[in-house]
Amino acid sequence: MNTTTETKNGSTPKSAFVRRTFTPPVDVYESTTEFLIVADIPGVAADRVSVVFENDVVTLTADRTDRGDVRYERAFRVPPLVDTSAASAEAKHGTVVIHLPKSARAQRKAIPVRTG
Amino acid sequence: MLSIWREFDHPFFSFDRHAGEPVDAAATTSARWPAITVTERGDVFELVAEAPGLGEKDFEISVEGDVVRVSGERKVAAPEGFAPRVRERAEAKFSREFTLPTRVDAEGVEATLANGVLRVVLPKAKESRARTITVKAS
Repeated sequence: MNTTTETKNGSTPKSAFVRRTFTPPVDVYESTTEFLIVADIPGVAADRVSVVFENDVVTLTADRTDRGDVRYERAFRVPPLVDTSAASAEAKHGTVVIHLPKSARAQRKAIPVRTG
Repeated sequence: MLSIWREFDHPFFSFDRHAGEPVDAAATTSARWPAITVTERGDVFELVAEAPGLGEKDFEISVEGDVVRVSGERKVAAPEGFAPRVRERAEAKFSREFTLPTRVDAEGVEATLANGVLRVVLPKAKESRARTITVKAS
């Protein structure tokens, strides 16, 4: 991530603006009720993070706020059992956590057995 | 296990690995985490560490003479009730030491953390700063 040339004051020279896109490292966790995607996006404030759901693909895009030349982007194809309407995300300390709840249909449920 | 619906046999998340440049090695290799850059700018040195996930209290910074040391730890654990499926984020316990070209004024060192990026500004010690010498007529 340190390959971009910076000027003395840390900003990008206007004449040579080249934004580079990086693939952030992620962890994915699964519980009985949801999936979590945790991504490292250092230098990005919460208001510059976008999470977009389209069909069965979630796309994370994050632009660095401390320097204009770096974007993080990654797409995930998620299982159809994810309830997209209940998805949420929060960013803190340069990481973003995306919550992808499983639809009620896909969650484990004990079915009571009555005496016949 | 007997699968009643094929849906339950879902293949896990598939990744689009072509969205950008490859994952930076420093971001995923514990031995090189966090990525740190040290630059010199006039009368100060600036140390920048990319340490997403760490808060203000997770860093220990010390300065002695011309040496600055940054240490800390990032634990990457599955939350309660969750099982890991993909693990790329580095878990690291680090202590990095940099010997600067000159001594620094330890009292004037300032550190700030914003969105996982730590910036430490280290003013050079007075005797190490550039000085312009006026030539006097004799």
